[in-house]
Amino acid sequence: MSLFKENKVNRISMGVESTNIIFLHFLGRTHDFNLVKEKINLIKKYGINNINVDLMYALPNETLDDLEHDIDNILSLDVTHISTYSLMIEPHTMLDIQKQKPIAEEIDYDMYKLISNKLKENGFMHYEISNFAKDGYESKHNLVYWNNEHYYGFGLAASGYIKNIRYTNTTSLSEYNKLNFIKEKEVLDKKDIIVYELILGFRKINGINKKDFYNKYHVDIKDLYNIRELLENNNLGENDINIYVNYDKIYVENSILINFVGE
Amino acid sequence: MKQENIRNFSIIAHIDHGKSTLADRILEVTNAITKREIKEQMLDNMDIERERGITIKLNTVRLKYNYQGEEYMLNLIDTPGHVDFSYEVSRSLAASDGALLLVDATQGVEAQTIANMYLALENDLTIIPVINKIDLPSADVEKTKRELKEAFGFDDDEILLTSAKTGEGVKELVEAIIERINPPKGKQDAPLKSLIFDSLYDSYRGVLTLTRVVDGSIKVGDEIKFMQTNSTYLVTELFVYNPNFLKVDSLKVGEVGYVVASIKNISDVKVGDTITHAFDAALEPLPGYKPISQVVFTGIYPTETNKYNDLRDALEKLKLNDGGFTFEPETSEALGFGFRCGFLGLLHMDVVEERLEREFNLSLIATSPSVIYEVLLTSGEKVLIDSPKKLPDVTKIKTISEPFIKTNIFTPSEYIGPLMELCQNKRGIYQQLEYLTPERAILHYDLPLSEIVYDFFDKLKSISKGYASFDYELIGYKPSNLVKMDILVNGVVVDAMSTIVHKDFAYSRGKVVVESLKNIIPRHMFVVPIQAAIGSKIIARSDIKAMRKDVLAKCYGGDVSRKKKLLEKQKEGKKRMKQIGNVDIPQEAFLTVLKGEE
Repeated sequence: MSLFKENKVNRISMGVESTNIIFLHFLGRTHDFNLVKEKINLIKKYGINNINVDLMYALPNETLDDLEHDIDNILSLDVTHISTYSLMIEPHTMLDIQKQKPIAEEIDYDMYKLISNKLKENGFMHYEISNFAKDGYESKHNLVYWNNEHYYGFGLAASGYIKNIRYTNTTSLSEYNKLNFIKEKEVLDKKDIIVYELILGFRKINGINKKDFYNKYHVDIKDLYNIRELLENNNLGENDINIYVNYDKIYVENSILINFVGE
Repeated sequence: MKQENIRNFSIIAHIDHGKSTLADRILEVTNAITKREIKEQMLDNMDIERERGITIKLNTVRLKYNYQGEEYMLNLIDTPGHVDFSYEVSRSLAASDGALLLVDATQGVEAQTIANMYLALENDLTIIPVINKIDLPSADVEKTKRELKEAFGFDDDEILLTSAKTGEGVKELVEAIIERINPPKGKQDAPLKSLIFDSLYDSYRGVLTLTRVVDGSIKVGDEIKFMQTNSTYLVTELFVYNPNFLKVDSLKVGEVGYVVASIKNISDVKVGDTITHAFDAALEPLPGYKPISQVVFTGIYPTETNKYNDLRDALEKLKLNDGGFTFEPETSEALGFGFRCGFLGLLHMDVVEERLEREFNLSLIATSPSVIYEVLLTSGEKVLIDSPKKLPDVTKIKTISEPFIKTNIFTPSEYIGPLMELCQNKRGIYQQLEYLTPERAILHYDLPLSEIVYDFFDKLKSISKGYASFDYELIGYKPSNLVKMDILVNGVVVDAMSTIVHKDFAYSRGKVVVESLKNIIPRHMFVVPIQAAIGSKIIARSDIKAMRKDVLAKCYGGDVSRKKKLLEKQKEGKKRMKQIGNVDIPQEAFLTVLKGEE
């Protein structure tokens, strides 16, 4: 911790995932909630108060009560940022091999509502699909991605976005040591850049700033794709400043975003 | 080659009884090709065929064999396309003088064995019964012999035993072909009569007509006439396949080969037609074979609407070597432009659909199959309907009659009870039960054809653990209490999903269909009701709940490009579906209506 402090680390993110020992075991995590509490206090003792914790939900057999208990525990930690993720069982992962089935869509949705309601009641802002923050504690580095801004990627498997190139580094250390850093590269034209602007920008609950968009691309965002139609049928909404995915459509956002990709 | 040293024969068998392996082995025994070459040869040909856009399949092969100091020409006339298919088999048989009746020693006599046997007998062919796969531990040669004797009256010493896998008995089989099958009977000096029994399309040479000369001979440079279409052409090339394409100058009585005559107009060549000379023409065409009629109809549509012309080209080319199906343009509000296609049976329908997809690289949607209904109008007029869409208004209908079939179901005795139950559920009328041996029986039922169009075959197989087989023939029309059932998705009638059903079964069928559609149509951002209706009356309903979750929960720096790809993939999937109203319907949904599990 003193090393962190010396090197000006000012934010720490902790993969808490669950506070329930049974679910932690299921996820293959070796910590428990007591350890979490202990370490959060330690971090705070060193004067770092900008802390994020990750929370996973929609685990097989998880109930709304289980989740509520997790949320209460996490709120008791008094942190400034919470990232929540519904469990995705990806192909070829341990959970997939064990033939674990995802939880029913309805329960998943109810859990999402429970999380957003409870966190908002407790002074958090819902500012991105899966992210909640106390005022002023939004994740700066993550906003770089969602604002479609540039960033470097250092190290194995890291990604970067510089000028009009999105790249991903190699996962092989020997290649990396030979200075063959980049494995994949996507060269973007203006249309591609706009697509990213839309699919990333609409992740933010406040959506995309219309004026900024115009200044960046010299086109009215509402003239793009079927955005006017999406506004008309209440999938998107707008105010004087922003255009955004309507709050009740956030959790089915892909159905809206696919209008901007392909072809 | 002396006419009396020619032998033309086919192999008939139930599917999977080892026909192709035996054919390969006969090629090997006659030194046409070595074992190693069989594979290479076939692959090479397939590549060429693919490049030229012609169909991929084994060809009729000319073989040489020395027997007791004499050289013989054996023409192995392969069954084009699917072996489990009587019309196509009958084409090969019409060009043959004998047939090997192949029976798998582990399976015994099956429905198609019998059906093919009768076809062969109708064609006056010499039959050589062959029990194959005798090398397998589960082979029961004695039982199979008993079944052959019981079903067809063969003698013990007529039956040959082979293993196409090890080659055992194949040499003896080739010699039996020479000894037992008659040479061709035609006259060398009579006017030309040559039977067209298959054809291929080659984009460079045009149509290659596969023919067997019955009387007279064809030479390069001859002016020939197709008797049915009355079109004339100049023969530019003649080929035989041995199994390489080999140019020849002429084809004489009994010989089999390909005629090339720069034929670009596909419709001039009809499988079953007779070739004669333009001058000195034969008076009468050959009888051809059994007239054919389509009994099952379905709409076939390209998944992508801009592939309509590709589909039409593919249908025309397929029609070249499959005279058994018909097609005419049809439009559907749901599916756009496509074709109403008629087939000789269900298997035929499956085969054609599969060939269209595989050989022509098309992605298709097939609508629920329909039979031909005979509708008697109140005016006294009688109309034939091959599509639910064409059914007149209910108030104008006096009666609707539907085709009935006679089925022969071959089954191990232990499945008789459940199979009878299946037939009853399909509105079957019991006729008779015959025992072939104590362990095997033939169950005879009359059934409405429309009932077996659905899932009869799958059910038969699952009830009998795959052991029962069946075939059927049409016996005529009977009036039934039939109604048209529509399917509505989000309030819109999907015309391609309408079916004609028996009124007593409409409720249960409707329920099954809406339930299975509910499971196959993806959730949307709104609730999608699925309804079955007779006229304006809703008889079943099931709602697809609104989508609750469709989101990329996690999206950070490293994920960004990958997430975009996921969205693109999702979009691709959506594009493959048919949009009807504002609902995306996957292709399987159309099949679901067709197969509706109960």
